[in-house]
Amino acid sequence: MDTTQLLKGVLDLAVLAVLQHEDGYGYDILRRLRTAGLTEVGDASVYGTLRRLFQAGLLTTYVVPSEEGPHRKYYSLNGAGRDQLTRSGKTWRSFATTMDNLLDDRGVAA
Amino acid sequence: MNAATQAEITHYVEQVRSALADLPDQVRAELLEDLPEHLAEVLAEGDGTLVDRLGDPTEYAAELRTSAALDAPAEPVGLGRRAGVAWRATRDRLGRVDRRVGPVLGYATASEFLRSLRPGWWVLRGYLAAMLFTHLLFGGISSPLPTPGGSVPAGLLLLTVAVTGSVWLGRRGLRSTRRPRLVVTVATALALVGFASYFLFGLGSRSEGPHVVASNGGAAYLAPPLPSTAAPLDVYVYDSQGQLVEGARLFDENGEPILLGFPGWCDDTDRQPLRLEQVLTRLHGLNNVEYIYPLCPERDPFQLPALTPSPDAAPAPGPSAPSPSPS
Repeated sequence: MDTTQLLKGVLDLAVLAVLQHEDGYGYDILRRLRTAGLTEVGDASVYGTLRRLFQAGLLTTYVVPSEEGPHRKYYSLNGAGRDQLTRSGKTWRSFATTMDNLLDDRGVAA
Repeated sequence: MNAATQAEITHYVEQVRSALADLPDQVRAELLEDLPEHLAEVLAEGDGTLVDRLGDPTEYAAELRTSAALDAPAEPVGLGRRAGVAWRATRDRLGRVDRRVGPVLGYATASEFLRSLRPGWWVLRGYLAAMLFTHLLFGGISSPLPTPGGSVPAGLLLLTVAVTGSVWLGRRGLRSTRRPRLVVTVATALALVGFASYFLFGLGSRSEGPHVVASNGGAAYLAPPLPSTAAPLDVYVYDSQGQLVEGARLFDENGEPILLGFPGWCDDTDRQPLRLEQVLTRLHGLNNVEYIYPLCPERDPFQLPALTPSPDAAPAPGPSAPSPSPS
């Protein structure tokens, strides 16, 4: 199954999750997602998702000046973002459990 | 960041922007607000150009559109999009006319009626092809039948082959795929344009100068030429004394009358070009008019101002009375 289709639905949640414990800038967030196993996620998807979550008021940003490279815009979860992460996390776990049970009941190999 | 990197980023952002040209300005601006900074971060993180790292800008734009939960563009952007919209509007309008005209003809749609005429068109196409072939190889078309080299049997054979071939092509076209049909359509269009231009050109070259048409009574009736801006309206002949000769007729070396000017132009108070219906009305009543010059003696361009004072006449270049000096 094409994981890019699945990613569309859960990229918000994935981005919120990797920002839960540590703020990050765009490329850094992409790297975290790929390291976590979402290897097919694209830069534009992450950038677009960050822009949208920011517009929705779930993220705050701040700029960190850099000596050698360009300034970096860091994204940070705010209160609304943390609430959203909690809610979406529950929805996902419930959904994933349902799908697991469905596949288990019918003897589909893991 | 050096200038080359900056230029690369700017170029990439511009291409993404143009791929998102269909979005409302505000949405696009919000989406692309941080993109230059973001791309600068990306470039700082590793080697390779932006296209190497992120792919084609249009693909990047498409992914951005998806992730930002914006719908894919309904149409390709730019000129192609506008042409597509215009084409669909035209097609819809034609479709409405099609459905409205159809019942008048006794069919569901007008196009259904036209489709039922298709075999007739195939026969006509074959006929036109045979005529064109004859004309191109043997010159002028003198009869409604193609007569290559003046031979009627050869013409009939050619006609049979052309019509049969055209019908065969037409029937085959109904079943064939798009491309051969396109070729046939283009070839037919070219042939039609060729025919149209031949007849237009032919008629155009023949319409110059007066037509002399023999009538059944033996006397020639002269169709006068249409007035034009370049042609003279009248002819004035002067003798050696400078006197206007009236009642003159002009003939060429074969004794054919020379028809210049436009009888009845006197009636025009101004020299505005005549409207077509005026011309036709006059020609209708002028079939038997004789060309006796000058057609309009009253408008002798060299007449003395003292004889017929006309304040609005142009200054006469001919002999005139010396004007009194103001002193």
